[in-house]
Amino acid sequence: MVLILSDGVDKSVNTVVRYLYLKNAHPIVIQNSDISTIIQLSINEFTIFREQNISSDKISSYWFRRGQLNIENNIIDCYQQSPLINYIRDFGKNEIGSYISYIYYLLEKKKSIGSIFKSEINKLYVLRCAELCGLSTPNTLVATNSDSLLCFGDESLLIKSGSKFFSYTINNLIINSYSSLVKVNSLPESFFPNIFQNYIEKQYEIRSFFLINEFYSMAIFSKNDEKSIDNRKSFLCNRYVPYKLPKIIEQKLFDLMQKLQLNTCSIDIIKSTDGHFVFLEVNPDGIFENVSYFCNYQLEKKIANYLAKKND
Amino acid sequence: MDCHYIILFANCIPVKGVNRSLICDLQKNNISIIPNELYDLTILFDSNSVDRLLVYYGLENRIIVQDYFNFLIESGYAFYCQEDEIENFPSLDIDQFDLPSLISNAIIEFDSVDGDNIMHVAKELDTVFCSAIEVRFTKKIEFADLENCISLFNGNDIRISEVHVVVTDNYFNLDDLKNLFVKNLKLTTITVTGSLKQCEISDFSYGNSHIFFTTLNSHQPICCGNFIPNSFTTNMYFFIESQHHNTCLNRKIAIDKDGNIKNCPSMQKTFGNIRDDKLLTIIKNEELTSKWNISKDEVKVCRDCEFRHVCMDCRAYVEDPHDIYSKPLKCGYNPYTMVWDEWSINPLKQAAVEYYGLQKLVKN
Repeated sequence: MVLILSDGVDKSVNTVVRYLYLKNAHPIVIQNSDISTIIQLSINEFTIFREQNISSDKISSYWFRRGQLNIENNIIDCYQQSPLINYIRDFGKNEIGSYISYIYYLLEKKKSIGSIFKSEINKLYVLRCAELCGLSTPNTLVATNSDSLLCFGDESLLIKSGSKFFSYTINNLIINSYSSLVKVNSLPESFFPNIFQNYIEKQYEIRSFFLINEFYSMAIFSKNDEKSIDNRKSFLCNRYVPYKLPKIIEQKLFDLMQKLQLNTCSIDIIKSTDGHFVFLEVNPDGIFENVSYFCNYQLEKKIANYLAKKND
Repeated sequence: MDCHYIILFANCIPVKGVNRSLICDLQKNNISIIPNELYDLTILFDSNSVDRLLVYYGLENRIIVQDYFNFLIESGYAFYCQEDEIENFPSLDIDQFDLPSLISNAIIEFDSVDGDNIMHVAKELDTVFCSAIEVRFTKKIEFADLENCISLFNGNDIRISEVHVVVTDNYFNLDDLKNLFVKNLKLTTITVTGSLKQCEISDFSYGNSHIFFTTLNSHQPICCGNFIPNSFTTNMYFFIESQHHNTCLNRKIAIDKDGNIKNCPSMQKTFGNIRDDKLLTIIKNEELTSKWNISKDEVKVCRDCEFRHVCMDCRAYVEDPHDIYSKPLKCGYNPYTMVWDEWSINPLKQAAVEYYGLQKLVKN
């Protein structure tokens, strides 16, 4: 059986699942809304129950797409009356968290794509590794006051968040953490720590999806008069075409993947107007649907083929 | 200018016809008709710089060639780049086509709503991972039956993801019809035939849902296969499927009201019955599947037509009923003259019209 962990079942998970069925690979999807129970867990194997027994010895491959494994936390059932109920609940959560973590470890020892341990990789650490691999990166500074930004010598800088993408909608007002361009002189004297980078004038962006030792790349041309900072904002007016990164860039990216121990991720790169490839960031659980569709890479099928293939 | 080459975006693909060509924009889903001389020019783009092309075409053509470049750039079909970037922009791999379905679409006719029969059909379609179905009712049915039928195909345990319904009007209440989309998320369109008015309703917010009312009496198989000028399907999947497969019949089956399994409702040949035979067995029949791979490049006349990769094919009604590779009967376009004519009055088509018994349809 092939185990897939996903936050929900969307079209691309569904497509992979269908290809797996067609290959008689017996896929099982566990979503965030599913609550499983632990039947047994030893140093070498586990069995959990979710509609059926799922035993590690039956699982031939594993795809961590996103999401998490949820195990029933029933510790408070025994302590309903205790004044320490909140502490006990937290203790139960931690206990179960440690078991789940080991289940992930056992799963990742199988043939697998993706890793939950890498899903929140540190952006600054990634930039350092990229530099060590010889990739160009933007000048980057985490700043809390506008004086320290003067060292960039630029009027405008790119501002971005250091952690996961954030987006909420309140009363039709969307608040999110898209990267955006800010004027240094419009900033207050001091502020909450933020990542600042110099803005790089681009010819086009490159989104590269790394999967099973291959880079599947796509160039994104923004409409000339609407060059955007963050491609997510202007989905429809862009042009998306297949792209082949130069060998030397692929080699450096491959070194970076090794250093970060990633076997899949989405990579953002800019081709600057002065002809350089500038590495921006990696998204270990980044989406591949657009790259797959616009470039006809059929990544869903490639993922299914890899997961279904025996003794690889 | 420091940009030395011009190249087409990989999803803007030129297709050459006998007298003129198309550029098919598979991302923005539109087409532009271009002269063949521009097609021939685009073929030289990858291996020749802009300057070299201008020299090659000579001083007397310089303005025309420059105009062609401007047209491609302004239409957003092409961009300028440096010589060393050309290898970074590979063409779109249009030879790879696949779907996670053995049968991707099925047309199913029912003359009544029998729950057991519908469940049996749905389960069979599941074995071949069918993703889209069109259910056609050949007789008037009650709303409750319609609702029941749709809910059976909508079930979570059924792999079908898109349900289209064609039903004859029976004083249906519009709100009742709209409600069907709320309860059945797989329901995509309802076409109501024999209606008093002709209209399309899509102003309700359930994804891509549509209700079509048409005054046409019923959806008869003989009405199928019409080619309407300028109503083409320009999109990536269609274009790629069209390279090596039949755009109408590939991975399609039809099940008639008696359970007979065919390539499409308009074809006579049956390959078994859904009540007795397993779909998994039937789709191994090579006579059924051979038609899936008749591409436009193999069809007479179509293979010379500039519209061949954005145009639905029809193998049920062809100009020479004894030649499965002949041109679709109901297409009135002539790529040699670039003129659209009414197919039904073309004297050369009358023998085929009689062969298929389409005279009555033609008179209407």
